[in-house]
Amino acid sequence: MKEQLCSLAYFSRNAIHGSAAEMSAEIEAILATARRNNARHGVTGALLFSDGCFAQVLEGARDDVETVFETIQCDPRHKDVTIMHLHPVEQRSFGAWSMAFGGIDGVSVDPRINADGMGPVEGILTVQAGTNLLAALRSVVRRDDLARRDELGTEGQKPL
Amino acid sequence: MDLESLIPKTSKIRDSEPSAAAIVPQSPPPEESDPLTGLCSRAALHRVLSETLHGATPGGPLPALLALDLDRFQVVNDSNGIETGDGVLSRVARRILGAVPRSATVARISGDEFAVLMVDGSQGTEVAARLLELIARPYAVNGHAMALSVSIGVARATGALQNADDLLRSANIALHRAEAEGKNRWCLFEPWMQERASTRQALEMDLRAALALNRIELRKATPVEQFAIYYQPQVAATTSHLLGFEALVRWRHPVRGIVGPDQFIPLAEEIGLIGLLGDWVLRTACKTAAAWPAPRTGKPYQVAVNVSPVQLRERRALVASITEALSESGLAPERLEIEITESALIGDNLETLRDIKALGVTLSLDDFGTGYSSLSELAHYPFDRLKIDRAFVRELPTGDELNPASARQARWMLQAIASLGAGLGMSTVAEGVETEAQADMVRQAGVTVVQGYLIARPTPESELGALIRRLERDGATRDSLTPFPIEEPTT
Repeated sequence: MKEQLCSLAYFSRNAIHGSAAEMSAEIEAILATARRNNARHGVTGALLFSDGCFAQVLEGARDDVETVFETIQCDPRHKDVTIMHLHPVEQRSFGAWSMAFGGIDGVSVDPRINADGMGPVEGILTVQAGTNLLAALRSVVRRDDLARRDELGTEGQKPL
Repeated sequence: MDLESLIPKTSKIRDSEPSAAAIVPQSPPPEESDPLTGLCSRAALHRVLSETLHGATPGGPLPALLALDLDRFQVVNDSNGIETGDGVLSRVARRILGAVPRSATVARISGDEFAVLMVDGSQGTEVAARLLELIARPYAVNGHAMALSVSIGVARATGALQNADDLLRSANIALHRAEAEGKNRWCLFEPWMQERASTRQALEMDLRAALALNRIELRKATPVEQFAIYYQPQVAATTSHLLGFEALVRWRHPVRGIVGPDQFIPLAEEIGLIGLLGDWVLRTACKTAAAWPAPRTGKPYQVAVNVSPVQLRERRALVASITEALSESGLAPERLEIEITESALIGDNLETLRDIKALGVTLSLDDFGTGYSSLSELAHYPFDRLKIDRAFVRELPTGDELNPASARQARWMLQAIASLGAGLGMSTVAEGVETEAQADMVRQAGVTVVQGYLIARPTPESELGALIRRLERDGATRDSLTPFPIEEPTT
């Protein structure tokens, strides 16, 4: 029997101090580790960084999601962590991505995916909460996806 | 659990610390480890602590011990089950391991208590602050999302000669202080905390002994008691007629001397002895009051007894205690007044108050106007009397000096409370009246009863006869004078 899929979303504040370039490098490092770690656990999801805040969705088998989340919890590069939701889901929203990334505010790793009229993370979370976070992340990821497809040609769909 | 974490070895934040990824916890041998978390056991910690203290060189770094206690952890177990609770505990263990220096020893002391021994204790409080933040981050276990907090006591070794038990005790004293200050914080041990803990312990033993002596006294007639009740008179504001007395408990310790109620009442409440003490005060006060002479005119004197909010929570015991005190002494119920502080109104005490009221006693609300005073609630409670907090009287000018703004305000407040009481059919008492000028203002405000040094100080039972005679005389003298030009409050 297939294990129950679950989805966890959290929100936290950046605790990295440094120049924009250093922050970019640090976030890139976070992404690289996250993608490696998540792939190993079969966890997919999306990470949004904006206005000094992280919002992340993790999805996969419950134990895997909780293990990956706990690892992230020990990371000193963020603080004030709040879990937005933790519940079972029917299917993955970011199935193709071990960790899709949406960066806003000029600290994006890819300048082409800067915010197109997207509000800051905090606004999305406090005003629109839970489900809209998912929608917001999806739209950012779609842009990310398109940008990468341009770059990689036909290989664009390959999970990282 | 997977130890490989997101934390890169180049973390900007913790340059001087090994990253969590690099940490290989010093695993204790199986017989010395906690099966759930893999941390050291209490015994192992004690051994390592002794060795560390023994091995500390003069002038070298001195160790520090951190004692951690998860706040309200029982709630996690109760609401999510033991299995989830265990999941949280192993995550807490991991988080601690990831945040302490590599050379540190981490132990699970009991259910939700942990300890960290740092060889170099100079960073003790920094590590405590980091642990506080890290452990407070939310947990996702078995599909439950939850958050908790931790209290931490930090004790630094003061010298190489200190023994393990001393350091453990110091860390625990600091932990208890952190918890007493509201939890979710760390506290560094200081020697005065030890002194205070010892003093408190000694006071507790003395209090228990004194109460035991009181119980003996209840059966025999020999006065071995250290507790005594002093009585402070209350007189009618307009006529100065003696109405009754407030019973105030005093503790005369053979060595300590007089111990103030502000010291021993909270202690008695905390260690669960307030019921016993309160019961003794009730019985003694009723017995004493039953023997008072009847006044030449007016109603028999009342006796007012304070009841602590802690006693009020023990509804059945309190009602039984009052009932027995009345029947034992033969005091008419209407002569007994039970005083409740405003803070006792928080919570579900209405039924208890109604039970007490049903016994036929008078109920009064003490310290009115400074604490919990929901005016809309006031009318629902069965009070007969409002005792105005002495802070209002204190603001009144004591003589003929100019009226500052605060004095004018205090007069308005007194007047407002007096008319509120009159409107609700309650009498009002002004406590702490020390001068004639204050008494005049209290009367002019419409307050009906006066209590304070101006009338008399709290007086031991042996001197009550003389006091009653003097006050009876004063009342009679006032009667023969022109009445005060004051309007009675309209009821």
